Amino acid sequence: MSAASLVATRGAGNGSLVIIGASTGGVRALGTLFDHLPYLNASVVLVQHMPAFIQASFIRSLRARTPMDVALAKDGERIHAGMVRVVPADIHCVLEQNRRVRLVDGPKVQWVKPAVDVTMKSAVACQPPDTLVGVLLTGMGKDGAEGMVHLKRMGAKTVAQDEASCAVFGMPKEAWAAGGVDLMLPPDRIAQRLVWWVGAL
Amino acid sequence: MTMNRGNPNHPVLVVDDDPDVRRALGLVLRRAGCSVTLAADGQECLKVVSAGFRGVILMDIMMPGLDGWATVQAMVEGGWSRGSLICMLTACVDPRPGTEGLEQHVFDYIVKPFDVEVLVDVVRLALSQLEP
Repeated sequence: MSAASLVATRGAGNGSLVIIGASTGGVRALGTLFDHLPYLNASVVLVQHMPAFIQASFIRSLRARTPMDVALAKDGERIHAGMVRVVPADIHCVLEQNRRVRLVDGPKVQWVKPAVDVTMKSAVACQPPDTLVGVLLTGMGKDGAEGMVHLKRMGAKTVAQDEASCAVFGMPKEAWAAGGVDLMLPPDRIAQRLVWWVGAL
Repeated sequence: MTMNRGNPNHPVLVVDDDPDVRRALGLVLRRAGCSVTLAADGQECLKVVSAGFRGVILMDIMMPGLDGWATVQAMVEGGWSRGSLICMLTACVDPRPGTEGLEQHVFDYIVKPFDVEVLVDVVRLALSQLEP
């Protein structure tokens, strides 16, 4: 079934919300994932642990891989389908009613800032649960595990990167152990699954 | 410490206590067009980065004295990690306790024994992220 007909059959609506968390090895994994992503019928919020000095080049490299609108998240910005917003380094990101970006300072959570957990745990049940998706990719530590559990408890779909394709299996392993993961897949198949779940435009 | 000429825009520092690994990585990376600096341990690495090296750093984890994690920690504390991307070289992908908080400073992991193609791809990806 084509991506367009998926949207036709599943209904485009206002678009789903996909929250992606990644850490060590994430730039490589995201490259593969975005190479396989069409223009999703979803807004994507991406929390990648990284130093501020590579933010601009990271965003540039994602733009080269996807037709979606990739930019650094801005405080107060309303997100909608087709947007990919990368959370800036050294600040947390929460979502108001799943649609408005709020950048908030505060202590590190799970030793990191931004923390995947903070963004995922800010998601609320203001939209059909099957239009919410959590994705957790390679990384050290356990950031994102609680967030994935939170999303799954709300009825969201959750997928984590599988061990074989991870640079470091820490974060996906912790999320899996906590019961927050529906599926474990390599990045290219996560992209396929996202198209199936949220549709493409 | 040894340096090899290559593209000055592609600086790579290899930190490994095994001379055979250093030699092999130096060869592979020079062939890939990188300007390679070799350091035999964490202390040597700190000398190189405190003298101004910025680029991609391939850091062995298991080294006598200052291990890879302690070296990364010292780089962060000294402010010498800014401008460089660090890839850990390891036979074991589970970080030891005490590495919490270093994830923002570690770009990727390369598992030993190396797949040369993967290694070069990761280094090129990291170099591309360092482009202004």
